Amino acid sequence: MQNLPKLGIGIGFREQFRADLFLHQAEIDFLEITADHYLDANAHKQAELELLKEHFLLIPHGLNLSLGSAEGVDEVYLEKFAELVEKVQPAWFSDHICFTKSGGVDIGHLAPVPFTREALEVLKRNIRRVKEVIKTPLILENITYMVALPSAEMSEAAFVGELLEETDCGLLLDITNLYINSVNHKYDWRKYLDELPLERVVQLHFVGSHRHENLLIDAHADKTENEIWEVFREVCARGEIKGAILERDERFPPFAEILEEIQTARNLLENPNFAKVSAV
Amino acid sequence: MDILLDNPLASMDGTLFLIFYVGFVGMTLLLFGLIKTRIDKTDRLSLPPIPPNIDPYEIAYLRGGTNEVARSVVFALMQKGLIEFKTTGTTTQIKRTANQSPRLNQIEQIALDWLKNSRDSKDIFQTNGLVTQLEAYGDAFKARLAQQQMLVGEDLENKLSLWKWLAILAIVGLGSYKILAAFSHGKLNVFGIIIIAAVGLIIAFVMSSLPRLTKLGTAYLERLQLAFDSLKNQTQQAYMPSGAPKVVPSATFAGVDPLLLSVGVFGAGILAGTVYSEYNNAFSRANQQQATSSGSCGAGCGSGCSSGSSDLSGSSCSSGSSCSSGSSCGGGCGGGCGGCS
Repeated sequence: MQNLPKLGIGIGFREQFRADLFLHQAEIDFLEITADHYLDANAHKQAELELLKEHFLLIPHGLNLSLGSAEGVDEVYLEKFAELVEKVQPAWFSDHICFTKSGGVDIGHLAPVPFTREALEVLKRNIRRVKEVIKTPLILENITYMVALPSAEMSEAAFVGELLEETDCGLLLDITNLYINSVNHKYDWRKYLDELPLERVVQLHFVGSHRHENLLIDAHADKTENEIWEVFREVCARGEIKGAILERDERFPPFAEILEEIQTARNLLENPNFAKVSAV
Repeated sequence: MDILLDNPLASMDGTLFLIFYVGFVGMTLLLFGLIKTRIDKTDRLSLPPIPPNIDPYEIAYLRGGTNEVARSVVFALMQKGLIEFKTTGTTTQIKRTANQSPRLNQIEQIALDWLKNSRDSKDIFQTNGLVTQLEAYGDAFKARLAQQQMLVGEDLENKLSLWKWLAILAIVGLGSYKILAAFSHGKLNVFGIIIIAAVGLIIAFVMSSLPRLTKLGTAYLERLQLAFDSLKNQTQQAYMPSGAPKVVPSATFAGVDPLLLSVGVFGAGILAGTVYSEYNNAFSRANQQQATSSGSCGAGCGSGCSSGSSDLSGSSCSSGSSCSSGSSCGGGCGGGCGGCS
C-alpha cells in the first residue's frame, strides 16, 4: 500500500455539481465515481465518464460487489466492474465490508457482516476471487451498523485488521462511519484506531453525520462537524493517507462551502497540526 | 465519330433513359453526400480539455458567431443592471440605466459605449450595429477556434467545392450528351432530361454547404453542454419568477458568472420563463422584424430557438446535440446562424 500514489483531496462525483467541478478543476485533486452508475452505462453516462476521465483522476467505488455474501461474488457484476477498472485505469478501487445480496436477491442496502471467523472466511474467499479478476489494488470500506450483531467473536477493528492483513487489501476508512458507530455503540474511536493496522489506511471518506433522535446516521447530507474533523486530524497524524473524499449526496450546499471543506481537509492532510479543530 | 452518337446509350429509348438518368443522378448525389460526410476528418483529433477559466463569449462565438457574442454581451449588461429593455408596440428599445458601471471587461465596455444612446434591439445586427463593433473580437475568437480546427475553413470548403463541380459535371455532362444524341436522331423532346438535370443541380448546390462547425467543434460544443448541463438547470431555477423582488446576484465563481456562462453555452433560449424572459422576447421580436424587413440573418439565433423551450429541461435547442451542429433545427440556432456574422 505504501507504493500507491498520493492523490490528495477530492469529492464523490454527483451530477448536481458537475458544472462546478469543471470551473474548479484546480481545487479538486481527484473524483470518486460510483462504479455502479457506469456498469451498464447508456450513451449519456458513457460520454460523462469520458468527460470526467479526461479532466480528473478517477477512483471507482463499488456498491454491489457484496464481498460478504456466502454464495460468492456475482460473476457478471465482477466482469463489468473489471471492464470499468480497465477503462478508467485507477490507482485503486474500492467497495464495502458488507453484503448486499443474499441467496441471489439484491437486498438494496449495505448490510453488516457478523464479526465471526466464518464471515471472515467468506470475505477472504470473495476478495481472492475479485483480485484474480481485477489486478488493480482493492481497498475496503468500513460501514455503519444500527445493531451490533450478538454473535461477534472479535471486535470490529480486530476483524477489519485481520481481513486486511490476510487479503493484502488497503482500508478505505470512512471516518464518519467510524465516528457514528463509536457514538451509537458507545466506544472510543481512538481505541478502534489503536487496533487497526493504520499503515493499511489508503483513503478516507468524510462528511457530516446526521442526528436522528438518539442516533447518528450516515446521511451524506450535512457539513462535516468538528468531532469528525478531529477524527480526520488524528488519522492523518497517525499514518500516511493517500487521499480523502468528501461524500455529499443530499442537501447540496453552495459549492463554495464544499470547497471550504475540501481545503480544510487538504490542510489537515498536509499538516495534521494545521489548526485546532475547534477553529475549523 | 459514329460510335459517339450511335451506341446503346445514345440510342436508348427515351423513357428507359430517363429512368437510367434518374438513377445516375441519384447515385452521383449519394456519392457526393458520402464524400461530404467524410471530408471533415477532425473527428479523429482528440478533444481539447475544458479550461477552468472558460470565456463565455468565446463559447458564444463557437455556438453562433459574432451575433451570439453580441447577444451574450447585451445579456451581461442587462444582468448587471446597466441597461434595460422598454417595449412599445412591436419595437423594443434598449436604454442605459442610471446605475454606475462596475468593472467591465473590454468587450462589455464596447457594448456599453455603443448603447450610450437608446437603441432599438434590432439595431444590434444592422450595419454599424453592435455586431460590427465587436467584429475584432469575433475575428480573434475565429482565429483561435480555427487554429484548433473547430470551424470549417476554406480548405474544407474548397475540397467540397471540387467534388461539387465534379458531381455537376457528371450530371450536366450525361444530360447534355443525351440531348445532343437525341437531336442528332431528330428527337426534340428533351424536357424530361432538363428537368431531372435541374433538380439534380439544385440538390447538389443545397448539399454543398458545410456546417459552420467541424465535427471536432460540434463535439467540443456538445462536451461543454454536457459539462455545464447542471449549471443550466441550477441557474434557470434560481431565476424563475416569484413574488420576491428581482435581485441580480453578483455572485460569480471561478471568475465566471454562472448565468452568463449558461447563456454562452446554451443560448438565450434558457432564459425563457425566467425573470429575464423580456430579454429573450426582445430578440424574438427583433428576429421577426428582421425577417419581414431586411430578410438578413442576424437576430435569428438563440432567441428564435427559445420559443419551444420554456420548460426547465430546455428541450429544444438548449439541450445541445442536434442543434449545436446546425443540422436539425433548420439552421435556426447553434451553428446555423454563424455564417452571417
